[in-house]
Amino acid sequence: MKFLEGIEENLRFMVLEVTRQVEGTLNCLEDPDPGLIAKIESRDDYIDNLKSVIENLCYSKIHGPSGAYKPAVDMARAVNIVSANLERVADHAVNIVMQVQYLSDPGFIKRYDYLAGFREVDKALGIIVKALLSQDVTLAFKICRAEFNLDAIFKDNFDRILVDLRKGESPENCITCHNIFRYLERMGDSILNIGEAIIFAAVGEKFKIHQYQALKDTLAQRGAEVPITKGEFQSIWGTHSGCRIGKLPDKPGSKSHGVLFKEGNATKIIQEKENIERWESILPGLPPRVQGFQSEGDSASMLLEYLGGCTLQQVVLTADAEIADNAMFLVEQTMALLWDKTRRQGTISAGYIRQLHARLEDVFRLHPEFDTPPRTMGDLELWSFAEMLEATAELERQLPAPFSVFIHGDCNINNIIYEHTDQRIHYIDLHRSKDTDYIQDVSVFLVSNFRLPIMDQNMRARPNQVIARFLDFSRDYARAHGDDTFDARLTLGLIRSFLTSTRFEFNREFAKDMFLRCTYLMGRILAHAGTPWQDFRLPERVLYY
Amino acid sequence: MSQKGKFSYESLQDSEILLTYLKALVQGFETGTMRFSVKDDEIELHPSGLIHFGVEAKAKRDRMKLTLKFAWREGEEDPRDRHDVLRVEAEKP
Repeated sequence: MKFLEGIEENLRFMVLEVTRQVEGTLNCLEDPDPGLIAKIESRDDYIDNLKSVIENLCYSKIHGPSGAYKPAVDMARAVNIVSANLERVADHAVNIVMQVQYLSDPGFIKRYDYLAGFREVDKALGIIVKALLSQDVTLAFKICRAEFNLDAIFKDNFDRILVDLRKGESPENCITCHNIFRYLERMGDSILNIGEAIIFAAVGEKFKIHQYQALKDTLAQRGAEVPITKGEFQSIWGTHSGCRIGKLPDKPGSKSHGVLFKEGNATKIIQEKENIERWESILPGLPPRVQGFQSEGDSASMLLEYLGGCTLQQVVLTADAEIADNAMFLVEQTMALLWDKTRRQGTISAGYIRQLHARLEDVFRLHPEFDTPPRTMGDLELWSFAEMLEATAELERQLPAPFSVFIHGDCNINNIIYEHTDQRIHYIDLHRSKDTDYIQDVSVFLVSNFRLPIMDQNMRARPNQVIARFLDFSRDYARAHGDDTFDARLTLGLIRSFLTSTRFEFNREFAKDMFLRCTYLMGRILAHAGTPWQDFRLPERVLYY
Repeated sequence: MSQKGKFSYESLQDSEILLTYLKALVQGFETGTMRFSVKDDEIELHPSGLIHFGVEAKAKRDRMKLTLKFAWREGEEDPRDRHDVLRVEAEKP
C-alpha cells in the first residue's frame, strides 16, 4: 500500500515483537526463568522505540503531501492507534512478568485457565497486519471479538480465585493470580481499540464495535448481509444528538437511494420511530420509511429509507432562483396542509423560555460573557441577562397559543428535503415532533436561515428573501386562523432560537450578534408589557443580517 | 481623587430606545456626575474642565459606524495650591 510506505515494515516488526513478548510472557508463567524475565524487560524498550518511530512516520504522512487525501490520513491515524495499543499490550506483558516474582508457588497459576487468554491475544495479534493492510472489516471484527472473549475468561477465573480465597488458599498467590488475569483482560481492551481503528481505516468512520453490531443486527433483520467495505458506508452529517448516522447502499436493482442507519439512545430513537409513524398517517410519504428497527437495553438502532433530493439548505444556498421559489412554494403548501390537518383548538404554551433554560448551560460554557451582570448607567438600570430572562418567562404566561398543531420539532432548513423530480417535500430528523404551538417551527425555520454562515451581503440576499416570504406566509396563516398574538409569540420563539443557536457557533462575532438580537427582542417585548399583545409588532429587521 | 474601575456595555437597540441611553449620558454632562456600576462596583466620573472630544463616522457600503470619544483628567489640583515637591537644600560644610 503506497501511503504506508516506510510504515508497513515497522508495523510488521512491531506486531512480531509484541507477539514474541506475549509468547515469552506465557513461557515465563510456565517456567519462571530470571534470564527470560530480563529479556522481556529489555525487549519492551525496543517496542517503545518502534512505537515512537511509527508515530513520527504517521504524523509526517498526515502533514505531508498525502495529508489532503482522506483515505491516506485515515490510514495513518489508524496505524498510529494500532501501534499505540500494541505498545500497551506489550506493557501489560511486562506487568504480568513482574507479577510472577510474587508467586510463592510458581505452579499456583496452573490451577487457572491462563492459556485460553493467551491464545485469544495471540490469535488477534496474528491477524492485525492482514486486517489493516487489506482493510478487512470481517477480520477487524474478529480482532474485536478477542476483547469479549478475554472479558469472559477473566470473569471465569476471577470467580474461581474467589472460591479459592474463601477456601483459605494462600491470599498472596490468589491476589497475584488475579492481577495476572486482570492484565490479560486489559490487553483485551487495547486489542479492541486496535480492531476499531482498523474498522475506521476501512470505512473512514469512527465506529464503536457495539454500533457496528447494532448495524449488523438491524440489517440482518432486514435479510441483508453486513455490507460494510470501504466506501460503502458514508457519513451523511455530523449530529449533535449523539446518534451515529450513516448511509448504506440499497440492495442491487433497487430504485431507492439506500438506507440511513441511526444508532443511539433508545428513548430518542423509539420516539423518532413513533413520530415517523404518526407523520406517515398524516401525510403518507412525508417522513422516510422505517425499514428496520432494533432495541436493546439503553440503545436502539433504526434503518431509514434514504430520501433523494436535497435539503432545503442546499436549495437556499445553491439552486437557481426559480427552483428556490418553487421549493419554498412547496414547503409553504405542505406546512399549511399539515397545520390544517393537525390543528386542534384550545390554548397551549410552547414554553419557549422554559425550553431555553435547559440549554443555557451549554450556551454559557461556550460563551461565558453572555451571562451579563446587572449594571447601571446614570439613572438607567441595565438588567442582567438572568433578570431579563426571568421577566420574559413571567410574561410568557400571558401568551398561550390559541391552538396546537403537530410540529416538526427541529424545523431547520437542513431537516427538510426537497425532491425536485417528484415535486414534494419530506421531513427528516423527527425525534422532537409534538403537538404544540406552530410558531416553534416557524422561529426555528427563520433562524436556521439567519444563521447560515454567509457574511457576503450579495449572497445573503437569498436567505433574506426566504425569511421574508416565510414570515409573510406564516403571518397570513395566523391572520386566517384568528391568531392575534402571533408576533409576540414569534418574538419569544426567536429569543429562544437566537440564543440556542449560539451554542454551536464558534465564530464569536456572529455568536455575539445573535445574542444581542436575543436580548434586544427581550427588551422590546418587556417594554410592551401592560399593552394589549395584539398590538405588539415584531421588529422584523432583527431577522436580516 | 483617584479611582480604578471599568464599565462596559454592548447591546443592539433601535433609535427610539437608544435615545434614553444618550439622554442618560447628556444628563451626566449636565450635572457633572456620571455613575456607572457593575454588580456592586461603582465608578463615578466628573466630566469638567478640558474634555478631549472625538467624533468618527465611517460608511462602508451598507455598514455605518459612528464613534464618539470623550477623555479628560480628574483630580488635578490648582497649581496655585501646590507646594513644590522638589526642594534643594545646601548642606553645611
